[in-house]
Amino acid sequence: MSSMAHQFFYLPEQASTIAAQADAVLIGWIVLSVAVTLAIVGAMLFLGIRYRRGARVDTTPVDESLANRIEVSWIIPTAVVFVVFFFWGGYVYYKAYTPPTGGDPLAINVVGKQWMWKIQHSNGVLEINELHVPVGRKVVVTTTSEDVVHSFAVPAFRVKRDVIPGTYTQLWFEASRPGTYHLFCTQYCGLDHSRMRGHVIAMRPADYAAWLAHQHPQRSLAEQGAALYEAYGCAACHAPGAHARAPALAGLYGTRVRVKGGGELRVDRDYLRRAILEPHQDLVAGFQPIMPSYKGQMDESQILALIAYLQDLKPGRRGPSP
Amino acid sequence: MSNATATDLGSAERVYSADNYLHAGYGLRSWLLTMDHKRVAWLYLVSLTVLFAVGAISAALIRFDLLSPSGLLDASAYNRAFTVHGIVMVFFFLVPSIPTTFGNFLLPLMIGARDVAFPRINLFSWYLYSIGGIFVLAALLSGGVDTGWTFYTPYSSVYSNSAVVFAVLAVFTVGFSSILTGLNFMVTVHKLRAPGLTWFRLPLFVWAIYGTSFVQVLGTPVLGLAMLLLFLDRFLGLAVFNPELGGDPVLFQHLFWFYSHPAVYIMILPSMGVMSMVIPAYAHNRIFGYKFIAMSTLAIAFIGFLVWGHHLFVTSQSVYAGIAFSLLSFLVSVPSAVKVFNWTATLYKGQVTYEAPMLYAFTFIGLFLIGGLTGLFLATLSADIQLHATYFVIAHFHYIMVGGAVSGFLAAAHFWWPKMTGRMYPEIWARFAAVLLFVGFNITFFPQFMLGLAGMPRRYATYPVEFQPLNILSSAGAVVLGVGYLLPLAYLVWSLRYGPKAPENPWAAKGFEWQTSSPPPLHNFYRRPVLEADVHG
Repeated sequence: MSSMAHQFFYLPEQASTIAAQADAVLIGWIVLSVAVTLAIVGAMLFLGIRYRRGARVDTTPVDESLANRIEVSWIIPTAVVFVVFFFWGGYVYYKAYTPPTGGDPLAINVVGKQWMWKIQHSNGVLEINELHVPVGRKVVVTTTSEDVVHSFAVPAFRVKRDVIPGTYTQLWFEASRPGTYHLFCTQYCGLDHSRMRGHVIAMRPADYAAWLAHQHPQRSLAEQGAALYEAYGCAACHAPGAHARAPALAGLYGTRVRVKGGGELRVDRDYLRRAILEPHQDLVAGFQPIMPSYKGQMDESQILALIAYLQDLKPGRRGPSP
Repeated sequence: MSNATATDLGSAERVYSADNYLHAGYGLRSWLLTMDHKRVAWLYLVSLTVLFAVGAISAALIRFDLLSPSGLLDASAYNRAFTVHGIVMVFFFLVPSIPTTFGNFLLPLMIGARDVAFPRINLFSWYLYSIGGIFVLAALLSGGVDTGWTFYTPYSSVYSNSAVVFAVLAVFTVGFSSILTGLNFMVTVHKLRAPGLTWFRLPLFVWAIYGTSFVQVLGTPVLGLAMLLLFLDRFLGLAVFNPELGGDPVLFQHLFWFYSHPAVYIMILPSMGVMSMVIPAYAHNRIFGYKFIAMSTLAIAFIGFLVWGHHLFVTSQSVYAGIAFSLLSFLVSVPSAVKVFNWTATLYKGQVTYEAPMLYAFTFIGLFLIGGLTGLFLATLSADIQLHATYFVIAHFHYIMVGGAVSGFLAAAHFWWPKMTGRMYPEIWARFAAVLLFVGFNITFFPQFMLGLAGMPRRYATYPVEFQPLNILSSAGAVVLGVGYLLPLAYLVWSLRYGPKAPENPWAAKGFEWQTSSPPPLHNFYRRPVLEADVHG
């Protein structure tokens, strides 16, 4: 697809690596739709004029077996076109919604709340309604909401994902062109929904590094989590040792645990969040349900910081110390 | 249930006569307590018009606000305007529109019956509808609702400070009206067809109403359930959808769309049925592919229940579920495409004339075609990421709902007006209004496709300045569209008194309803209607 075509079709700038592929599907549909509309409306007008009342034309009815063949002749091509677009769009969707596994992506947390975006970088930088990212590096965004459903959308990157309270959703992108782009909330969230807007600023790697150097975060996200771990006295039970009353947390992230009542679960962000807020659900087998719920004690940003700490905590090596 | 099949009452004078259903009583009681399906149709027609006006005024407020990027209304008023617009237009106009008016009036006539199967329930349905309408007015008078017609949780169940209770009661109540109407019509079609009127001889409008009824009966209870749970969440602190107490907000979206996507077919199938009557009537030709159109109605009604997940492509729904729902959404589009091809082919070897209903039919085909094609964009997974919740979606479903469903409604209103009132509408004015609506509609909604492609989100009271020119164009179109709606209202009301008297069959159309006087007598037929050999021609 030519690099200018998207402008002709009113599409925003193509500022991410997926944008051109996503646009190709869309432009394919637009071109096909214009052709089909012209064909059908053309046929309608042609037949409507040719067979107008009083015109001297043959109006003997169409024979039934011919009619059936005509039906098949338009059903089959329609179905074929649909299958092509189903696979094409499905392929790009799968790519757009499957976060990269390798390649050291930049991890960003986004917490939506009425009516602002709170953005956490893993190095501890905090932004409101602005997200700075480097061009040419994959960025994986993990989102959740403090209140209602929001949606994180950056049209120039062709990404959008609902931000849902009580769960983590993810999206990823790789900015390909420096610039300042709209960040929209696209799920209606109450009074000032339309003011829940911000910007994503994509920067050249050098500019990004310079920007980062000016931010002076006090502590990284994991360090903030470590401080919370200390402040809430988690170690009282979770410190490893013979008398531990709760599962050891070092190296736990990403492993599978047996839970009470049978079955295994993977320790991921959603599980850890649940274990903090509703600890008696999916209790690790062999432990007593003695942990209190921390619901109302921590906000979503703090929970994300704590989880960042737990992700970094490796056995034999203390994570970033409080 | 009485013997509802038409019996031979002798061959009376069958031009406009005083002996018709409109003269069966004159007082308010004769209308409000009527058991006559034809009068119930009028009760609906009047109340639908009132609620349509409420929806249209709120649409005007929306278009007014969006003239300026900073919004000419305050956000709270804007949010209430689009919510009322959605609730009223979907639940109180589009869903009941054609079935309760033309369906009610014509279904018994078309199958040669004296009334629907359950005339009392039919009247009761109208009362339920009206009570629902009163709840809408109560919501408006108590400050309005700001949840959007989709009522997404936990905003609607926990956070909104508006009259959610009245809105939920309105939707809940009108749902029962819809279920009872559907049930009534299904039984009517099964039990009251005239002897010899087999399924494949039924007019396609009857097929459409039958398929629609099936969706109403099976889908609406799920909406009622979702509304009930939302009500309990909000007022009794149940937490089915509240994540803070372990509930799942996305579950609401599943339940809501499990009804509300099939509801799209409740809104459009009856209009498609109208097309399948109007086009052959003015093409003066047999409908092309009768069985394909009839079967495509059932296919849409059935597959329509399996596609709700395409509203959730960008939620936490699994990528694999998204792929399945995408495929099913393409599948449900095939029967709709089949209908469009068949309507176009009906012109072939016909003798086409261009009265106003035919102009609305052409409008329907053109606009429904664009609405349908752009719906396929949204069924395409990658494109939906971009277009979801933008103005592209707004434009798409207005092409279906206004361009399609409302055009169908107006086509039906003009086509059967002589039968319902015994009067002809003024043809010149009607043609002019049809063209004006087509033009106004496109100026209003086509720019919204462009806004959506450019990324403008829906439900925005304020917006970035680069979107302003297209918004102004859209609002200007809405003025033309508004005039296009007022015109038919004016000349149709005028024709009730001053229109020329209508003959029995002004269009030389086929079907039982054209074999009785205009308007029909109280019990519909003076003599047993004759089954024509080429019944669909």
